[in-house]
Amino acid sequence: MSRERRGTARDLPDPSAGYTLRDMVSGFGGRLRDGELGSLPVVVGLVVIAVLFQALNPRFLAPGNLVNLTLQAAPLGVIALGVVVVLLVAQIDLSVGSVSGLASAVVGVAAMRLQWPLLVGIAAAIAAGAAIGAFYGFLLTRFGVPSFLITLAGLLGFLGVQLVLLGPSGSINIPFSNPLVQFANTWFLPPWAAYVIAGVAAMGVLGAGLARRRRRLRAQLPAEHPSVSIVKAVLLLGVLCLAVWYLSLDRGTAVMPVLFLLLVVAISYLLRRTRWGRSVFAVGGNPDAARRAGLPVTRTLVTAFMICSAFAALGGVLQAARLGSATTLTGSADTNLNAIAAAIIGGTSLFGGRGGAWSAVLGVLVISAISSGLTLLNLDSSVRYMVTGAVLLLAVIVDSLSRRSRASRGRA
Amino acid sequence: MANAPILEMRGITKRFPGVVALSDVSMTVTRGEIHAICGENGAGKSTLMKVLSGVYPYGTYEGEIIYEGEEVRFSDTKQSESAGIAIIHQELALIPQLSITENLFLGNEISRFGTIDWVASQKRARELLDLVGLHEDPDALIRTLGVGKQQLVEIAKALHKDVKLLILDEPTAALNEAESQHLLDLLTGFKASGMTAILISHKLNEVQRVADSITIIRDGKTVETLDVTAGGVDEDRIIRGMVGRSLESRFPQRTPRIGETFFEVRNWTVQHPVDPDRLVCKDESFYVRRGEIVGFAGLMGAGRTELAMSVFGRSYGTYLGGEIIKDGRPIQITNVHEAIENGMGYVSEDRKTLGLNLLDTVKRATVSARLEKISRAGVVDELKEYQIAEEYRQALRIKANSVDEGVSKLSGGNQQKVVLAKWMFTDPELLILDEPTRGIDVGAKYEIYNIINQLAAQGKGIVLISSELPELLGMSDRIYTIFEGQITNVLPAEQADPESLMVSMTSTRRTRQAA
Repeated sequence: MSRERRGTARDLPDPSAGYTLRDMVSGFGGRLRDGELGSLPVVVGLVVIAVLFQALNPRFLAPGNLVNLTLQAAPLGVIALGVVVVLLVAQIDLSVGSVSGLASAVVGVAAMRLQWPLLVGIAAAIAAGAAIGAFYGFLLTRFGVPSFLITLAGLLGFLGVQLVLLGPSGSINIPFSNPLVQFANTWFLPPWAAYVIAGVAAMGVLGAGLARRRRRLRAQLPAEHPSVSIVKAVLLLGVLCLAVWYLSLDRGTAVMPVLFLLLVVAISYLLRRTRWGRSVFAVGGNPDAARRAGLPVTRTLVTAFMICSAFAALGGVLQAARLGSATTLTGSADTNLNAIAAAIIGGTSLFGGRGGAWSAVLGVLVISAISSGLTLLNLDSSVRYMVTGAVLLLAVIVDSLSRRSRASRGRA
Repeated sequence: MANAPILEMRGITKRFPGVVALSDVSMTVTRGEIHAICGENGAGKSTLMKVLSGVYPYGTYEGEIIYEGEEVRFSDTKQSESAGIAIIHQELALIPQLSITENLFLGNEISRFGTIDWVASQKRARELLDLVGLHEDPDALIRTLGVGKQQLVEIAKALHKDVKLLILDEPTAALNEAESQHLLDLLTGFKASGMTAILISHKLNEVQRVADSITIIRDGKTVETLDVTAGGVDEDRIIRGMVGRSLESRFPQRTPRIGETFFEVRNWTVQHPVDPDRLVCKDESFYVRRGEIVGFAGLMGAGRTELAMSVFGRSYGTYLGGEIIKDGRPIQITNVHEAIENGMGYVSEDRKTLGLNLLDTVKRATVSARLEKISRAGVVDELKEYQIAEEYRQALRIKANSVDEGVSKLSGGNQQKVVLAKWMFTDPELLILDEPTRGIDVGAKYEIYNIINQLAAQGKGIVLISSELPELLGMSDRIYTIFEGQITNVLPAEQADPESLMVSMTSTRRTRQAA
């Protein structure tokens, strides 16, 4: 690791000048040199994975496989998104798998055995998840039990509840005619709608950027050059349209992954722009300082766990929908570890205070890509476990190295 | 020769990056005496002992150590231990979950054929416990013992290693009167049997009682060595040596404009968070007027921080009693948020662990204690955040490339300015500053003093807690002294001098009537 650069000379933009594209690029370079790797390692990793599997099996990047990949990734991604929030407050939830399995059983029982309206069943499953999260948060903040242990107990306990709900047969089939199953398997956006969504997203980025610029100029502050927002918007539009077009060569853009991305955007907004988000980062970065700054530490921890468990429940519902059944295997050990691994591989620190909602997307793409690629190669799941384990290990090593590098840059 | 020196330290200089902790310190310890080292907080006492015991190995300091007639060059504490030097630190190094016997012989186990000989260990443990006058079952777990008894176990442990020179760093700081008495008697007893001891203590009455000679260190230099046996040495004499320096013009000029009393704490009593037998605040009362800088003097462990933190939203200890009166009305404050709402701010003494989230940027840290001021419907206005942070960056002259810079990259002085900005942004009427200039270079200190004066000029009440008497005398309008959780005195700054403060900081004795 090169340490010759002095910590004082950084390429951060001078606030007295306007912020242009060049500043954006050089600022990015400066952050990299300071060990703020951000999502770069994951993106590089994804490219490597894609190239490797494509070389081994040309079907890997075929539209059909990618459509499947988005469908597979979405339920796990929703669970990983919740895990990100809990990791940001420097806690852990080991029970997301069991909670997702429990939620799938709840929705199965409600929709099939009790014949409740579907939406009520889904709401019940998510509410059960939120209640579990609130319970975890209560135990953590009231008794100071480490979340590792609370959720380890939850992992076992809720697996048991799931088995009780499923009954002796161990599975509840949800027929293919059920809208929930159709949603997860056959709902695709018509191409025009997908392009419209891509356009709206790009316009949103552009509009927000220009509005920010207008406000800053009105306040007589240096603002970024309009080209920055335009380039960002064009790039986004290009990438999204390319993706939509490529997927449309097969079945098209599925609704479920779009739902996942919408949730990511929402959580990202909450984390980055709201007071709640600030307390999440503050509590994860230094809980003592947060408490002494009068931040609602207890409330932040409880809400983080509630979001995590509620998302785990939603992920479980989607998983059941995708498989057309709630079984004892829904949410088994695989789901749990993959969701936590995805959050960390995506770049959210296990030590709290660093990361973001988008790391769930990146991480889950890595995990699903590995799984899909190895399946195409007809390799056993034993290999998949080993490869995923190695990638996780690599990700935490990168995290630790960048932490150390940042520590050496900062004047400790 | 009965009076030959057992230890001579000559010309010891110890540098840390940017600071000289010890500069040309010399001391001579005669065999069979109790030699005390006195000095203010941060004078370099503990550093000197760490040099002696090899915590700072040979080569990292300058000067020489002559022990038992020959020069020694310890490269770690193991070597000094085997030479018969044992040091008992302020923080005890016992393992709470193990028994007395296990702790006594930890790393030094009595073994036979490679397995621990518990019978011999027990026998030896009983002997050692008898020596230190501790009547406890050797199988008792350390965590069941009080601090005083744990201290005795530490001493017994040192005795087992055949110690010739016993160093005690603030041994009585956490002990009650009877325990302290026992410990000092023990020391005197050891002296009679020929052991030499070095005693570091803030409690000057104890020093005066047991020490044969006293070396006084100030600002990393030896000031003098007093011979107590020759007579004429009393507490006042020691204090004069400890603080005897002039107050240079290190503090910006200020004309105080003091208004009415707006903040008052009455009969504040707080229990230690884990040890219910200890009161960290005993019936303390004080008041602050608008535009006034009120100093709080006290030695480490006297309970200054504990008082401030418990007043600030009960963030320390268990509240037992007392009331806070603001603008003539009693107010109920049970958490930090309410304290902030009621116009209080508290700049904590350790900015890295309690004051800042080191992952934050300057702007995020600046607004973090009062986000509601720049949020609507829970959404933070990032433009306002930037403007406010930028304002403070310029006003306080925080040296950062931009407000987007990470606070971990700033120097200590600039980090402290960010913490000050964070609390100024909450717009407090009462701002408590706990060691606001600790570990900051002289230039930055002056700037921080300027900021404090400006805040007072705006009519805010300032509580200044500091271990540096010159700082308190140079900045405050009125100074309270605290000793063992009690306010022992209060003096207008112009009537206070280092000697009179030190007297009230080291005992409940008063030099003058309370103001």
